Amino acid sequence: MKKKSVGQFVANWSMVILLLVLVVFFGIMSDVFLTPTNITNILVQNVHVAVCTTAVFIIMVSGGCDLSIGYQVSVAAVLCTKLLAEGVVNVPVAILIAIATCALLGAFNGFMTLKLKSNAMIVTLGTMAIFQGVSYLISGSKTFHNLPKSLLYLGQGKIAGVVPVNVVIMLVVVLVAIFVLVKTSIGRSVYAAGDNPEAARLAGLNVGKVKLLSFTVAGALVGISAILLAARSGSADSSTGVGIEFTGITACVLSGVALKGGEGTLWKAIIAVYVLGILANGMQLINLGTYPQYIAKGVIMLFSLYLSSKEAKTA
Amino acid sequence: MKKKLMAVLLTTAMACATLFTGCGASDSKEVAAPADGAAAEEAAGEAAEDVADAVADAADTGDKSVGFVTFGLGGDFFQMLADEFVTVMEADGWEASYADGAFDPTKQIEACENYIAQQVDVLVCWSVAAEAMDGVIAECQEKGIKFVAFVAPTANYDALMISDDVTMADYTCKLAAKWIDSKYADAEDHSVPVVVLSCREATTGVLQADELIQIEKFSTKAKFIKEVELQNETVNDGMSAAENLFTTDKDTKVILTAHSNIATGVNNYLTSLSSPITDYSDMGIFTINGDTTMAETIKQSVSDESLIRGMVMTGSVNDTANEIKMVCNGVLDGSLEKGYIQEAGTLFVDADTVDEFLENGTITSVTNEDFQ
Amino acid sequence: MKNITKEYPGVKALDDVSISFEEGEVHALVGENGAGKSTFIKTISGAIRPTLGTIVIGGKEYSGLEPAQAIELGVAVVYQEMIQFEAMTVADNIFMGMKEGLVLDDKSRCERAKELLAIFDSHIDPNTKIRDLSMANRQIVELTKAVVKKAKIIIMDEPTASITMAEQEKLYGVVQKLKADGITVIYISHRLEELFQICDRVSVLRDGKYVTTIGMHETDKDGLIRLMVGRELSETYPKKAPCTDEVVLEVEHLSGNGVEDISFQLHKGEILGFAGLVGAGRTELMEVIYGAAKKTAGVIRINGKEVELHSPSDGMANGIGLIPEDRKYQGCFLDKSILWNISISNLKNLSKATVMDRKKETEVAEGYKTKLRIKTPSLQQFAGGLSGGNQQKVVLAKALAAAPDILIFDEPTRGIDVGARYEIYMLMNELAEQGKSILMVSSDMEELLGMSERIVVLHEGQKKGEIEKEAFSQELVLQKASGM
Repeated sequence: MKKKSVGQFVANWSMVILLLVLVVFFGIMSDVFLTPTNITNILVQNVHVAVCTTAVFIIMVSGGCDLSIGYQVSVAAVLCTKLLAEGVVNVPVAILIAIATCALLGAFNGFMTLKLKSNAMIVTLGTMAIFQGVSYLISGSKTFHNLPKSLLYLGQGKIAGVVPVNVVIMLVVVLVAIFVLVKTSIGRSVYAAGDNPEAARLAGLNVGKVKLLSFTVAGALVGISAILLAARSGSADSSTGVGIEFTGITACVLSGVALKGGEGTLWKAIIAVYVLGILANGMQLINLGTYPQYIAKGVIMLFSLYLSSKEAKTA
Repeated sequence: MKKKLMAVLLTTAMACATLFTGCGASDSKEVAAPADGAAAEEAAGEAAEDVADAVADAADTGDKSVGFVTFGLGGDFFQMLADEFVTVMEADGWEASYADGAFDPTKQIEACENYIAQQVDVLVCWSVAAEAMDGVIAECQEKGIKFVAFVAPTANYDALMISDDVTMADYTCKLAAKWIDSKYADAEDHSVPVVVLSCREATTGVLQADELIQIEKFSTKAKFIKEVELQNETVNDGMSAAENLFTTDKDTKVILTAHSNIATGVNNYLTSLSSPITDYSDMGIFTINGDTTMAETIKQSVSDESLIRGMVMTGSVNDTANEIKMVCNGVLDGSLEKGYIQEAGTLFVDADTVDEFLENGTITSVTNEDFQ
Repeated sequence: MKNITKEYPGVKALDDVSISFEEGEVHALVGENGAGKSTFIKTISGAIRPTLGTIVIGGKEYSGLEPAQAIELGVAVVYQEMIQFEAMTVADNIFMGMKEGLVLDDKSRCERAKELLAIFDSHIDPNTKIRDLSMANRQIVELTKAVVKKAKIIIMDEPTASITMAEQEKLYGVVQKLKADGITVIYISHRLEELFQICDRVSVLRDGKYVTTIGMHETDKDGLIRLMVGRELSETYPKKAPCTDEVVLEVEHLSGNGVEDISFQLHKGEILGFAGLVGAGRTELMEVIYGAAKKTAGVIRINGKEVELHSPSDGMANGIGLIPEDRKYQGCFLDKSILWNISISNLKNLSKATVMDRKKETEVAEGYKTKLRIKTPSLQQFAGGLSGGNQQKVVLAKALAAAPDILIFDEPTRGIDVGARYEIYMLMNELAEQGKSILMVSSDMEELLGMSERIVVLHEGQKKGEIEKEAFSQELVLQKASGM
């Protein structure tokens, strides 16, 4: 009985344990790892990933999957920075346009998934190509920079010179998402739609609507992520954000989000983002070469799976 | 009602996207299909007919035709080169078009095969994996199509246009050394900290990184601190790497990287609101093959508003396109013998030359000879 | 109060059926598999729309219902294959689809759920995840769900198929309670005995057509069967030739997977029953014998030879076949064809150098189709589209294809109707007479007493007794099963 609870504890807290192990390890290996500057760096470097992961999480829990998120970021980032660089709109409008665009792209994904009655992964593989094309058409393969200071402040500024603005934005987004997912009936129906769509339908839920809503809300979050990324970089081109969905999916899966949907804990997924982030940061600080970095990354992933399999083993 | 509204919205959005595509295609000449105006009109029809048309066209008018299989089309350098290529070749009476190589050997082979089917006279290819092109080249020779290898040397070619990876890195070191040694003329020998940011994912990256880390050989004042290996050559990776770098090596003065995106990322970070550095006057970033945007950044460095002090480029887009034209004409009329090697020109963009570059798109005042 | 009419002229899953249900009655709905019971209740619950006909609830006429609408009108269904949110908690399952505020108060929901569960004398923790519950407890959660929705019509599809005898009694009590509250209960069951105990009236469907509705007291079991199958069924349990004395399987002091110190012998051609309450460890014991779970102590001998079984494939190699309890998840690949299902455990013999021999495969499958009387238009039919009885036959064919000597039937007739049951029993007897030996786990007392030649009774993972045919009695089995 005791063994079981230990196993469950380890499985439940696997991400936190992993995070602590990495912190201790890099803390010993590098003098600067635990300095405030570096900790801020780690937080700041992964803000857009955390927001995107929240989007990926919502979609996965609702029983979907979205491979097009990277290019949604790309479309929103080039659209927003192009409009700003050309001085067409002011910053708040550009931000709203970026978020609305991504929400629309997300809704399009959801709509196509429902219309084509097909697997979301395959549908978004298709829309990914569409968004890629749209992004390059908007950008014309150009890089946009010279962005307004007020936008840059969102990605680079610090409140009272200490607290990074983008980290605060990320925390607000994540906390709101956690609240909605855990504490509201909307969140509950998202989990239900992913867990067992047929049961959800019979319980009187409109599963299609729930899925469409998940895709749309996730899209809006992707838009926020795109702005945070562009504001941090100070520039954007069509390669901005590409591939981010895989980091998001990796973080979600590591934290125990079920691939079929209906299961997962958002804060764990966000911790997983930072596990990956700390790994990247720490490996640079101890100056590990690229190839050993790959190996280390793989080992960490397998280790985390091992930790979370404790439950299954002992239960 | 709501559903209908949604459907209308989405349809409109998609229609817009399609429209975009349409506009884009007619604005720039980025169709990979044979580019004769009439033929392009008919391109909507059956592909077979298309090819037949193109062949017939070529036979009827005796036009010279050329196809260019690009490395890929991401980033404005590639795109500009491809566009310039079409402009220059068409002005010379060629029928010219290009295809997106998509950074993928398989795609490139397909694109080559399409050109072979169209019976072009000359095929120019900047291969991603030179060793994968053997079959295509053999087919070209069989059909009497001249094959020009661009940048990447294939096993066999009618002509090769090359800019050597190592040489480029070599010139970058020299350009950086010039700046370091004049900026820090009074400093002790080997006292200026230099860091190399590399991405050893492809051969070019490895070769150039190996050269850049030897900066001490070129500059008497430079001191090589370390090489940081990145997994991706994106702006964001460059940014994070710089952020991490300045927690460990605060005193870094010069950063060398073969990847222009990484250079942009480093510069973005160091000039951002959260940058640990406020005075950029004693620091510099040097890189290879940036685009026009990067040249503008170099211009800003003159007044110390940015840190990118210089880059080495494989000729200007226009120079390169003209070189391609010369080589294509040469291999076709036989004036260049098989196996001819054309060394590409090199442009050195720094504080002295950046105005010339931004104005003319090329640089004539400073050449390879100045850096021998 | 209600007058429900539905037609499916195209599919004829239901052909012009009209039945009316009265307020506060327990109305049984019976018929063989494929008679259209499930289709019928799905139209009431809004899971599907009728092609023709109308549903009248409380005087209002509807041409079809949406699930949400049906719930609104007070219709609740407790499905046979319980459709629930596996990864969510009991409380979430109970309240899902309810009009709740935007922000949920978990504490008060939990309290509410506890109160509701108490109606059924259940003490399930509302924070338990559904997948950690037993079938019986899941059933209770489903009933609670119906109550919380203030359902006026509760449809129970085979509620006693997967619960133990003691729990069945509890359920009957619940039904009476619901009835007293003026709720209409539509009760579907293959266990005809229980209908006489709790139902007021019964409607019979046959081949998608309405046969009749009569008062429960106007008929008896045989009469009901006659109505259902349209012919006489001589006996519920067919006779079989007695077994031999040859011992094929001997289990000594076996422990592991939650069972302790179990010993018994199985003779060639014997059907050995295993009785016990849910959680007594019957299925768990079978898993150890089959090699699907580890044993911690004890010996298994097959034909006198000691064997070590580390995996189901070891079990199969030693001639053991399993027809598992949960057809849907363990027994059958529902989205694959019958042919595919039958071939899957015998790939080696049906292929040459790993390339499947299509002809042989079809031959073998055809053979089983005939032998086991699987009713299907084609071997390409998806297993999921078959009735319960025919699915079970496919599972049986799948097990038989590997040519086992010992067959484990875990709940062989759960959710299978009278006619098809009889066929399964016939098949079991035939197999036993052909020299195969059978271990049968069942929660159906009549089935245990009718089919077995001996019954082993388990209680909380331990063997509480072994009863010979002559001593068979329901009381004795129950007594031992409850640990007395």
